[in-house]
Amino acid sequence: MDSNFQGERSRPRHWHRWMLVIPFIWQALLAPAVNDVAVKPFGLPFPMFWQMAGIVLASIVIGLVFFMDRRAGVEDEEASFLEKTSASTGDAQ
Amino acid sequence: MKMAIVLSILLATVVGAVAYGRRTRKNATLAEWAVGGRSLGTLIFWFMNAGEVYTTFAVLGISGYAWALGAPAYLAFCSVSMSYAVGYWLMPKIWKAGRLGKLVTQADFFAARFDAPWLGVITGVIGIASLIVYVQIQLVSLGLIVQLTLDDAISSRAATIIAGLLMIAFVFIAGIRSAAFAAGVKDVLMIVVVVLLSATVASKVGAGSLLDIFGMVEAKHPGIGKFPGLDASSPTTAIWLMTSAINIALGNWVFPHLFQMSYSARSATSIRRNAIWQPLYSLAYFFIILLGFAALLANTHPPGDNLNAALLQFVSERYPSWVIGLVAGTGFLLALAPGALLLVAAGSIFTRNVVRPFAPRLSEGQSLALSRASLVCFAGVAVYLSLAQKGSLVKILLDAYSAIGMLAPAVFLGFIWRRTSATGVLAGMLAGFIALLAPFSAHYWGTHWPQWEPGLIAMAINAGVTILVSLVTPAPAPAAVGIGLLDSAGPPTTSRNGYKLGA
Repeated sequence: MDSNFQGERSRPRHWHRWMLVIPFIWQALLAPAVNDVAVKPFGLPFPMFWQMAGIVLASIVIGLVFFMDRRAGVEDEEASFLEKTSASTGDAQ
Repeated sequence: MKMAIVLSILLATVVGAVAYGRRTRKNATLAEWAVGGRSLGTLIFWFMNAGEVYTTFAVLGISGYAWALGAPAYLAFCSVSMSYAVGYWLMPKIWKAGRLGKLVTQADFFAARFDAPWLGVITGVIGIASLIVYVQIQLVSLGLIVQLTLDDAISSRAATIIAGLLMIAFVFIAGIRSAAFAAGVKDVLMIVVVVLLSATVASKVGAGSLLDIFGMVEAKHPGIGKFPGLDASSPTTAIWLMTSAINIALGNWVFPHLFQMSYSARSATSIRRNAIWQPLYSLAYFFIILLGFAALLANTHPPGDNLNAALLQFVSERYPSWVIGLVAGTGFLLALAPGALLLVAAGSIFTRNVVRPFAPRLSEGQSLALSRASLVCFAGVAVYLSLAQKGSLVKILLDAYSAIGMLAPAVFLGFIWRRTSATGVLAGMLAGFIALLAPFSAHYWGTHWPQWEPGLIAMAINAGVTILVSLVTPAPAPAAVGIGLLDSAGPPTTSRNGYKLGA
């Protein structure tokens, strides 16, 4: 048994996962808005630079969510799930 | 020289891959062959991801798009990061469902979550069809690389057929673990190739530095760096990028081979950790776009203005033969390793989800034999389709995503909404395919929303119909719903630690 038997049904602690929408806003929704920017960072066309910055942002966002998940105990949950299912799945291999 | 390098790369990889596969293989069951025994470690898992992400599409398709259109090639920058933003949330759910239901294929998920074996048959067929579309990308590319290796001594028709035979041969000598090994070798070689080409490309086109190439190409072709690109009348606007990128991100993990890759991970934590780093790897597309622009500056004209061949043509015109050999040898692995994984996935789905429901007493040995025979047929169909294929690799890719996108609403809703029913999923898929394929609807989207990815429109219609029909049909049994919604599975009989649904 794990400690958080309050039930996973109340899930306000997963709100931070909405941050995963940020790459969609940056790379997809804002693409038309930045298309005509004339600035050329490092000599690159701005829309290209924008997309590359979006990639770095995506990794940062996903990394941040990963650590917030860790704080919320998701890793422990996953480990206990793995343990529970290993009995039925693992020994079949 | 060129031939010697190509052959040594191929031989060394195949021998290494087979030895690696032998050493780690425990027993030859269908499950082992298809999901690698559910025990692949973090490192192998990461290489498998990279092998899936860095396909011929990225290298030949994107450089070709940069050469022919310019800015629309930025689509590559969206594809990985947005897919992993979705995957971070979705892949652990798929992994959990796989363990709960002891699922092997993607179609198993549909049959189990919606409590309807017939839905497994239908989704199995759709999954196989979209895999066949996807395999075309590998075949068309492999055909081009065969031609490059043989100095265009054979027709593209013959080259495509040879490509198909090579792919089948690779599957039979390899298997999933060996393909993962080959993908690892390919990743290393790919980095060598890209560094080598990029380090020398500026001098090849008379630019002072790498970044000068972007200034030069914009001076020569004003507007190439922004949407819609080189051709001002092209429908590839920023709206095209937005809708295509979203369609790719939502469809990506729904591809059967990627869905099943989530099953084979060691833990949900390793999947999530992997998702942090994957987007950064896709920054390497910068060099691919750079090479496409360089090919344009060098006035490269591939035979028949085939944009897929722009990069290879550029390399064969401007580089010494040992570089061409290295590029060609790497290109073989680039197409073969993912191609093998795609075919294995198609074969195992066919056996397990299309045939077995009608022949439940199939033995393990018969299943494996049937799975192998069917993937030979699928490779044949893909070769046949590729022979008629004149389009860009990017277009083939978007078509494949449109097809698999028809399964996406069921996957997402299956994980978040208890009520999603098998009838609802079927109705949604029917409506979606009509919106996607019927001539009148295709014409309508083409006329009224030319910049919109039709696959995304069809996916939205599919999702809407799935929800509406699910509202008026009964939800699947609680045990089946629990495969998808284990977190909030609410029936009073299912205690929180009662993860015993897959019995």
